[in-house]
Amino acid sequence: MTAELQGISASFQNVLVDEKCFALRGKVEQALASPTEMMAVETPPASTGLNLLPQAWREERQRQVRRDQWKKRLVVAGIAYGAIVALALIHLGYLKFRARQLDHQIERDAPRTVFVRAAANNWKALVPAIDPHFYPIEILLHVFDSLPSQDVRITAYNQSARQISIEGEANKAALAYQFADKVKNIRICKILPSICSRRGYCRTITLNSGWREDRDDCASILQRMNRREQVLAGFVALVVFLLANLFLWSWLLRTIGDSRVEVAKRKQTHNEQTVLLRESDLWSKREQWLREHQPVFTGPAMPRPCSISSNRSPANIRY
Amino acid sequence: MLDQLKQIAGKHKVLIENPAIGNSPTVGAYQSVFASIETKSPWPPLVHFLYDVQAPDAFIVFESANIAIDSSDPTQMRGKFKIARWYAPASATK
Repeated sequence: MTAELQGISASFQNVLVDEKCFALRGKVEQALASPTEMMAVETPPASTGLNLLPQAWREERQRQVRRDQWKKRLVVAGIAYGAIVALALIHLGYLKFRARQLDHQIERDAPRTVFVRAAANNWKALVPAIDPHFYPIEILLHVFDSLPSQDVRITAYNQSARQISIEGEANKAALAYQFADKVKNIRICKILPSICSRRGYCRTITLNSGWREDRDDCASILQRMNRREQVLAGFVALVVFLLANLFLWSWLLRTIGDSRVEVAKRKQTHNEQTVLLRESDLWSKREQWLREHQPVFTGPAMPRPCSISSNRSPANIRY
Repeated sequence: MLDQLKQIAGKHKVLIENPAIGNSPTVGAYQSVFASIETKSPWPPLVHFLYDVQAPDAFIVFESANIAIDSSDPTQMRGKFKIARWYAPASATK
């Protein structure tokens, strides 16, 4: 009635009444002014735990799910492992590249460093002649400067190629010890840095790999195997994989270690060369000075004269 | 070289005794020609002598030097020197 009052049509073509509401049929027809038909509403079946899927199929499906999960995990692990191996190989390649690069630099700088080393050795050999620190007059000056008092007197001075000995006398032992301590502090010998160059060795190992895998064949073979055969095959594959990796990693780590040592040696050599080359101007000038000033020995007939310095003023001499 | 040493010694009134000369085999960077001398003089002239003999561009080395007070005359110094000049070997390129 409310709908009719609101202008909504309340006439129906078909009216269906559930069998359970059979008692209300007359009232419904009267209210709607149309005939009704009976209908049966089926209730849904009750829930049950019955599963008709065969147990073997269900286990096979679970196995497949687990296999897929393991495949995904193995793929991820394989990618990670491959990345680690690739990184190690890249590191090894970098070390080899760096060693070759240093080799080129060492080879490039070798002639100049050989010259510097030769010039330094030559200069070192001639130091007693050209470095005034080695002159007896210079040593005597330092010795006399070291006298602690007038009560200490030097009575003898002996100098040879290898040693200097000084004899003296003092009225007190303490003065003599004091003098000895002062003499020890005289710097009469400069030790030039000795440079040792060692060329390293380069070992190259080539790894050949030629194994192809036919995945379809492997899969079909695996499928044909029974459970025990699959376990055995898996075990064998695992052992082969572990052995192959043992060899691979032992080779890789050994080669990387060797390469690191080689690179370190080359770096040291290169650093020494850098230090020498930094001083190459100095040694060039010294070598040129030697060439210009050192008299040349021409044989028993005396060489060209080289005047002994006698025009120096002795005014500054201290004694 | 001995003449030059005598010249310097004369300049400073240093007496030279028992002069001798010789040469040593070539040692790598140099060929040594030496003169052995003994000197007798007071201390100041000996210092002047030692100062004048050596200079970097003279390539002169005291391979040995022994100086002591003269036992007979304490005002005098006795010196025994082996003075060498280090020449560049003939094989060296100049």
